[in-house]
Amino acid sequence: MTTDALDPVIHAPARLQIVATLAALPQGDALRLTRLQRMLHVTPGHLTRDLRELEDAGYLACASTGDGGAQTAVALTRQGRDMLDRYAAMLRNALAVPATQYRTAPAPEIRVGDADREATAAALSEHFAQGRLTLDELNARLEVVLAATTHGALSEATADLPEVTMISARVSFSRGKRRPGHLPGRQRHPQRGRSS
Amino acid sequence: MNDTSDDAATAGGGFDPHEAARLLGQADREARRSFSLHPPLSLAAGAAVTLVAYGVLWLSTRDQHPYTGPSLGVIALVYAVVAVSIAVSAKVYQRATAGVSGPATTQRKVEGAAILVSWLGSPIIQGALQHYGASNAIVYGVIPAAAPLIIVGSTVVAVGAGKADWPQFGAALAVVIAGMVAAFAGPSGAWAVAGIGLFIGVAGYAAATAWQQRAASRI
Repeated sequence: MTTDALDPVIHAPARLQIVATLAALPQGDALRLTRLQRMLHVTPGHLTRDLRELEDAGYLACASTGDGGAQTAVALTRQGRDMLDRYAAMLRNALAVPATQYRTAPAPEIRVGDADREATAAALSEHFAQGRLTLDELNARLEVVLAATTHGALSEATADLPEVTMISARVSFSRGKRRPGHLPGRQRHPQRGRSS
Repeated sequence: MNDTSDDAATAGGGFDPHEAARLLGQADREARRSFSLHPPLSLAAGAAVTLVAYGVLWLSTRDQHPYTGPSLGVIALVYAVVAVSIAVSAKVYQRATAGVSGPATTQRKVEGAAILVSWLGSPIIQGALQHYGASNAIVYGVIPAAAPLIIVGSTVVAVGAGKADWPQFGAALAVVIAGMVAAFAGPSGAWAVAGIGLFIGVAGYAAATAWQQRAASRI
């Protein structure tokens, strides 16, 4: 099993714990650093460094709060939540479904479900990430995949592509967010480079 | 939870997906438990205490002919139980929301205020009925047993519907229905029906919350 397709910003123990903890709060709510530190049992230095990584990736927003802004609170952004959902889905699927299971393709006339469409969409995203598809090609094929009703229609979108290791990975397109350009991987704010 | 912030681990090098799944599941569960305003165990304990309190009220009034209402000792006991429940709930709330801020927190405070205000409905009706000479069976039996369930329960039904919190909605609806049944169960029977209804509603909510917390786990 490879970890290449997993977002490297989240796929680190301390940052994964931070993101998972903040994701348990309702959207928009923020948590003071002092409580986050107590919950995770980490040193302030390590916590600050990991928070900065997550903030640079756009997954986290920091704000001053409390008396005169003396306290700092952090909240997961929408992008951070989406990325965690996607990360968890990929992890879950990668662990639950052996890749070999997908090597024997079902008959073309067999109908597909959301899981099949999402797995194929994830595979296309991976091919795009690995440079086999342009953004336009990815978008066009995603349209085909999301409209597919049979395995035959699905396989048309991937017929000229090799198998990827994370072929079984699912990507959640729930809540109407089809953002083919928004792929697993590090996304830094261009104006906010970091030296660490 | 272990301190996993060492440099090598934080860098993600060699971070096995199995370990990542375990860590994600653990962090998710612990965070949900930590932020939960209604811990299932606390709810279940509250349901049991409520059943006992209403049971005592029923036992103290079931042989009264004519009905005079619960004795002062029983009322004091029930008030003590209510005070302890409020204190425990406040502590749980304080612990869950410490350091948390944002729109959902503000909304919860508004909902709490609405529920608190709706609690006033029952004693006001009770006072009005007493003022106009209603019998003890109504003033000290049916109304204090059934009215809080109907009034407060309806408020919680509305809050649950507003948040699409269907376990809360269902539990509160069960309590409202129990209150309606209690209103026709006689002055003493009203306490028994109200107690059983509250127990079912709160215990059901505890079970649903526990199931939801487990089902909502990311891994």
